[in-house]
Amino acid sequence: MTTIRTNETEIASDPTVPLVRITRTFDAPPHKVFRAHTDPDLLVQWLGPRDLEMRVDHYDCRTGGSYRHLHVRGDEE
Amino acid sequence: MAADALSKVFSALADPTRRDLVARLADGDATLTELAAPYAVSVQAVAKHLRVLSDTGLVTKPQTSQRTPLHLDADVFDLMTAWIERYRRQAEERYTRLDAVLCELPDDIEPTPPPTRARS
Repeated sequence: MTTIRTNETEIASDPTVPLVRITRTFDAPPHKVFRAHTDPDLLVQWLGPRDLEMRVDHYDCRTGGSYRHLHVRGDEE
Repeated sequence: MAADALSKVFSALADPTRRDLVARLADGDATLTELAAPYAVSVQAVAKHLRVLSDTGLVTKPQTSQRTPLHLDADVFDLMTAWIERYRRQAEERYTRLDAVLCELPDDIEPTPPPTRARS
């Protein structure tokens, strides 16, 4: 069994622009972290709120691309 | 009640002069006269700002005497911290799930999924 290491999440707001920056370190090489963000099958496993089922309806992951996520709970979408 | 109290605190701190007053009271108690000294505005204007702060409970009620020191009640910040912490925790949980996903991925996986993959 592998132990999963977790790191502390840091959230900071930028005083000059309306932006909230979340910084987090992962114990994984960049290509794996990138894959977890670009692969819809992997994305649904971690991104959505835990109490809702997340479905990726459409995901065009590139600069200027688009996405449509659906959150489902029972009959509610 | 809690949500309303929170609105009052956030709204009170949305003003830079009031945040400055809070910052100075965080260094130690001070009287209205002392607090008003560095500002270009009147003592009355500063007293008004302090009244807004005291309505939230952040600062002790202004006394009739300008020489009574005012005190910051830092417990009110716990209310704000608790509100913010909920969102930090949600982000934390999300990335803990991502940790688990990353752990399962083979090391030689491509950085992007194959373009032909069917998406449900």
